[in-house]
Amino acid sequence: MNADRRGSWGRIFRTFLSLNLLLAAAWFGAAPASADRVGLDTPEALYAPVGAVQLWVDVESQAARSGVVSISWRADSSWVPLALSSTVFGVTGSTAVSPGGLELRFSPAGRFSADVAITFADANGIIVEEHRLRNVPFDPARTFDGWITWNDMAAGNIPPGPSPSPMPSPGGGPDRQPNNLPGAHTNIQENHSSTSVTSPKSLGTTGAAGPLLVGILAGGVLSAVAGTVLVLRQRWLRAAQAPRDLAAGRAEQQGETR
Amino acid sequence: MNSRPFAAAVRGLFGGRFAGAVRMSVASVLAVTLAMAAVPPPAAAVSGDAVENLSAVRAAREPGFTPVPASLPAVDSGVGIGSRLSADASGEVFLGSAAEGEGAALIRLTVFEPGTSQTVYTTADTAVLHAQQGITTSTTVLLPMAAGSVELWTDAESDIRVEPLAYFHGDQVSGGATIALPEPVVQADTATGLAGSALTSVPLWIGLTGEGGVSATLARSVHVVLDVTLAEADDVVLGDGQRMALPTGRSIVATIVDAEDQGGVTVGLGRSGNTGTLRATVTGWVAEAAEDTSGANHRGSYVVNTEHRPATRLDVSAGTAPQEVRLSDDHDSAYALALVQASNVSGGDTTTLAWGPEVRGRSTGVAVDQAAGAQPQLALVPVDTGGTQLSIRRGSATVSLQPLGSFLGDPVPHHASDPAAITITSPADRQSLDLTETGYFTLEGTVSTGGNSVDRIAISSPDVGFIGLAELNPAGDELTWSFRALAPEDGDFDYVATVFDRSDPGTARASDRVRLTLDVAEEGDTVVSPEAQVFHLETTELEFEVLDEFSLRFTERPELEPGDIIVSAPLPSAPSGFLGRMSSMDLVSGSWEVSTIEVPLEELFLQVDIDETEDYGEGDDVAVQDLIAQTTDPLEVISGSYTPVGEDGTPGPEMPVSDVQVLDENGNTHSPLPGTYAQIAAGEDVDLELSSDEFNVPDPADFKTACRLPGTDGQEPLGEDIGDDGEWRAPVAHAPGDGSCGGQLKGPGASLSADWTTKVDASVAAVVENGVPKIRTAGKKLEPWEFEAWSEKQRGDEGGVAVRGGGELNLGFAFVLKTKLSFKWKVIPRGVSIEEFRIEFNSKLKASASVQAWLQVESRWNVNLKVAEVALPTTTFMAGPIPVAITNRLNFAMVINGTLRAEADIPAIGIERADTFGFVYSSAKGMKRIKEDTPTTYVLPKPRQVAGATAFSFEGEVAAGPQVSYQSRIYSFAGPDITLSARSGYAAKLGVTGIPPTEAEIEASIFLALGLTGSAKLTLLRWDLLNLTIFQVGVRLNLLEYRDKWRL
Repeated sequence: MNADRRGSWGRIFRTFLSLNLLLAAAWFGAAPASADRVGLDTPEALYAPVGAVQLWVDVESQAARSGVVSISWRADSSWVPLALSSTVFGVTGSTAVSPGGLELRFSPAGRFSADVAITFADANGIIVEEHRLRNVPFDPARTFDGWITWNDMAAGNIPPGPSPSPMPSPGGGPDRQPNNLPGAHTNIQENHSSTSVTSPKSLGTTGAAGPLLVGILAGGVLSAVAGTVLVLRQRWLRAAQAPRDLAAGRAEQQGETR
Repeated sequence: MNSRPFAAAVRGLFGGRFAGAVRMSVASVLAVTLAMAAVPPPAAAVSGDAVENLSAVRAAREPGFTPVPASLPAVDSGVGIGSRLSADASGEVFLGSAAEGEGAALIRLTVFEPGTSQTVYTTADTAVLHAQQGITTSTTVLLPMAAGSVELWTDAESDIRVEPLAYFHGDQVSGGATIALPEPVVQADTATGLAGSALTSVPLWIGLTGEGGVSATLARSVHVVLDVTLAEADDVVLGDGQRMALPTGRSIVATIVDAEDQGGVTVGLGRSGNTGTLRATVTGWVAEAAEDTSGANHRGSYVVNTEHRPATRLDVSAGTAPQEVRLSDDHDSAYALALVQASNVSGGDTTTLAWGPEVRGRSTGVAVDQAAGAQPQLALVPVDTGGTQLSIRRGSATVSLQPLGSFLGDPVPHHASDPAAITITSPADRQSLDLTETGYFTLEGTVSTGGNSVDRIAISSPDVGFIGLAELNPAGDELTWSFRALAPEDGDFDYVATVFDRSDPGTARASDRVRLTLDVAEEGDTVVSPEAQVFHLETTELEFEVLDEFSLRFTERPELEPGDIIVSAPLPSAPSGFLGRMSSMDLVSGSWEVSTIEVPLEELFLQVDIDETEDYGEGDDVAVQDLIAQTTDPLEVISGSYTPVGEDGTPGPEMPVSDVQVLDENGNTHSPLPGTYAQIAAGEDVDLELSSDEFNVPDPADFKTACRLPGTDGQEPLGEDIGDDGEWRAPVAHAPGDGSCGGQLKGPGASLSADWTTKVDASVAAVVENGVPKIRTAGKKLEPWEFEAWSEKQRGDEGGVAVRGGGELNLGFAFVLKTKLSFKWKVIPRGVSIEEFRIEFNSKLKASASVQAWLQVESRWNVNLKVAEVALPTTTFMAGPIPVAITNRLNFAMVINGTLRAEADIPAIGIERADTFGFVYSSAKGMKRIKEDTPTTYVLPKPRQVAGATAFSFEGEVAAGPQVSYQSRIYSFAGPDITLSARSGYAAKLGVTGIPPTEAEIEASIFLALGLTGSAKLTLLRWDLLNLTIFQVGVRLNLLEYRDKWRL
């Protein structure tokens, strides 16, 4: 009987949890793909536009000043490292480019998050195109052979780390969520902003419909309450079952010993 | 608003000067045409007066404003763009080829976490940025440019980021044009007491306009750099509403300020008990369009916010939605200029603020230090319909934002839901105005526009149609306007003010009307400018002290505004009175110092008839300063040169005389008493006629005079004969021969009442001793019979010449100023015609000399003795309510020169003249010189042997006589300076027969060396004859040529 009741509560809990996750996924899925890539035209593949003769790469955060080991780029087969300068904003590198496709990759030395800006300028220094990614997580453990490319950053294709421990925030505090939620690759900005989800305006920027958000929140609250109740109930049941299990276990041990 | 398309469009529009000129012309013609169409007279026909009124409208130019498109910094030395900022005080930073050809730049400077406190300087050692140790600091400042470079250096070489934000090449004719001063002007410095001795909660008043090139009356805004050091962190509060939170220690903030009516702004601290220092420097300004300029605002004009001006505080966080902000009053603004500061920074990152709907690209813009935030600084922000969005790139902060003004872009469509409004606030409807003494009145009001800024405010009347265009004046939270108007006759007139906005220059948006009863000035009325402020007329209490020709000091803050005309009757510190137009005011060590500029007389006397003749009565108040008697160093007043001449007539080197002595009759150094050489003669002591008793001629029969009649020989020019350069070439003419003048002198100058004279006497010997030329002056006035003995004692080994010269002069002058007002409906340039402006001197002059020469070798001598300075009393008379003060000074010198070889005594040479000279000007006829050809009475000299000498010879010529310089001043301004010299000359070749000589034969000529030179600094009148040379005439007037033979 107890097993049946546990199974029933468990199904309710799993249903709520699934619903909540589904709603969350729907919410994050409803957010525009540009939310992490500032500007609707932020590309996953970089292309130096016509007129561009300079490429500037900026990784902006306090930690980036010493946290970026290397940035290199290639327009063909060979990677060329950029000469990096540490600035008060982070780290900056530049190179001469010609119009056409190119790739960029970054090698972090530590774990931090930073904004990544790509700027193409003409011969007079006039900016012809620029892109920005907000709060990109850099972690040597979350790279491909030590490198993470712009394409992967822009696509949210950052490899999961070996540890689920939280990523340091720009201010040194913990991030609110790990970056491995469904759809998280499309919402780097929000995932790492300690204030983003607390502001109605920031919610408004996700593009999710109001009723859906209310539903998500309600579902979340309901899930939390139901989960808590279920957990407490499970603990209570476990506490009640424990002497029996203990006795049974001892019997089994004795049987095996024997 | 996306800045790039606009930038490109701006470049396209502003790129060509030719295109700009065409646009300007088209715009002005269009505006004028539309103005006529918009405010037609009742009969729908354009009246002649309206056409005349239109002709006074000046074409408006587009201000040169070129916003810089999104770019990499011109210099960002830390990442390899450009060089580090030099510590060399002559350092310059090149902003790029786009900056070449521009006159000024608005640039943002950023210093990143300096190792020690760092200061950045520009022209004239003006500090524009101070960063405390370890604090990233940025500022935005207006700087002048030359060849695309700005002057920048620092006290320690360092990395810097320089971001050009906009370029300017406007001039002050263009409404809203931003102009950088070539050299910044310090307007407050508590270290020196300028504006005050300390910055406290009691506000200091800082003058902003009228100096360094900033217009006194047409400055829409002023760019100022405030260098502040605070004992404790505090708010610095400006009188125009700006509030800047500054930390303890030094901060330098650049902003743009609205000057109050008196041309300044107050600066104080927010908290009482706190204290600080302040140095305020003006780096540039924004021009206001003058009255009757065809457009007040254009694309690129800077307009001051009067509605959206209060500061707001916003909490911004990275990753959240940008905060909507309204920065401009009008929707036709393209870029707003706002004062931005940031505090309460969290997140741990040094970052920048960002404008627009999304944060893009790399970090540029206002730097927000991770600890200190952003100090107050200007931000040039692209706006769309007056607003934009504000974000921070990383972390969060509280941003204080104060909109100040905007640069205009394209006009936007007019919306009836956002209407314009205009109100005439003065004079009141149905008011009666008496204009008989002031000529015109000022129509004033307020205006507000809808979506677009003001294009123009047209003033019209149903009686005439178009009258003119008003001048704008942003004043706090309202936009005011003014226009100087009048009417051609007495009566009731309606005046209508109509506002046109930029959306459609042909459509009136709003209007207001008043009906006024006017009593206007008529011909014969004395009309003076209502801008005149008269001092010291009915009070003996000193209201101000005159510091110099252009500066006054008030102990109390005067109720004066830039543009006011300050007039003062004579006062102790300014015996000539004072006249000047106020240009600026400064508070210096507790006193209010007012600077002025010259005022063309016709701007003060709009209509006047002044005709004053002055002969100074009996000379009671004429003061003589006896220069030779009073000097401690004779070289200050006595000068000369000596040139030996070879046997073949070739002159040797000219040797200046450096050995000058004043000697008594015994040859000892002597200090003469006052009156020795110059004095005033009055009553019976006046003697302007040559007579034998002033020469050592024992036998009166040996003294004869003759006369040259004027106009008989063409030797002397009349005023009209003298060229524009003041010169006149004398024809080669012989003396007309001996004549009789038939009694007393005639001619215009002869009518002068000669009740007083200035009388000068000096005896001087120019000698050579051991090859050294020397000049010796008798230590007292010598009587004719004493001169011979004194001369004998001066004779040196190698020769010399002694002269006893005298002169007597009487002077009078005439001042005539007749101006006529020709305004009908408004004040127009050159609307006051000068019917006659005359300054004329009349003088009677007598010059006499006795000469003794003992020169066995021919030599040339020039001797000049500055004998006396004569101050004539100030003449003051009233022109309506205005006191006019005129002063004249005379400088007397005795001039002796000659080239001769002689051993002879010429006891009597002399001339007697009456002269008239000066100039007269009228608008219709221009300038004419006044000079008469007058009779000259002269002595017939007869040489004789020097007493005791065995030789008797004379070959060459000698001339001696007075030189008088007239310096005339109207108020304290330079008027004409004219010098008249009249030297009586004698040239002869004498031969003797017998040893010792028994018979003499001479071929001689008597001449008058007449010199008339002078110039006038005629800035008093608005004509084009500045520093005019009136006379540059040197005439050798041959009076008599004769031969004689006599027994010795």
